[in-house]
Amino acid sequence: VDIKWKLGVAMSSDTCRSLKYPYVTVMLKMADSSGQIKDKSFEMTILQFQNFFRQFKEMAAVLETV
Amino acid sequence: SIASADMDLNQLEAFLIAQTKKQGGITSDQAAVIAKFWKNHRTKIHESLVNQSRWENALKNMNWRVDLKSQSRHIDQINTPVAIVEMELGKNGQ
Repeated sequence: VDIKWKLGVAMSSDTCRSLKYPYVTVMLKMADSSGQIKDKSFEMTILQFQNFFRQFKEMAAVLETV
Repeated sequence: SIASADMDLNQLEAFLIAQTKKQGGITSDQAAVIAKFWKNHRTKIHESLVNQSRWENALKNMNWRVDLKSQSRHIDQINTPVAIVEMELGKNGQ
């Protein structure tokens, strides 16, 4: 139903003072077959996000050709 | 201290020199060993520390396929390509 994203950088944590870790958080709003809306969110490293993005690019290309 | 600050080589050198000058501090040989260890393992150690601060859902796996609806109760849905995506989300170990 909806997709939201945000790019963040974790600066510091209790285990590491200088973390400087960039990440992407995605929030998906999904409707199941009964129409009930569910929120799911997940976090990706930049590398994981690049793979995620590449998958969707592939899907878009296939959708164009079908 | 070195891992927590994710020191670069300049910071590392300054830090280790200061440690050798302290009373009850390290010898310059020990400083050299520590420097070599950090240079070799810095990336892996930092990665491990990063993973310790990740506790949200992660994308474990993703599958997709594109379907073409060939028959439908509603005529206007015929020949509509649809992408179906399956995402596996989980936390550490789940």
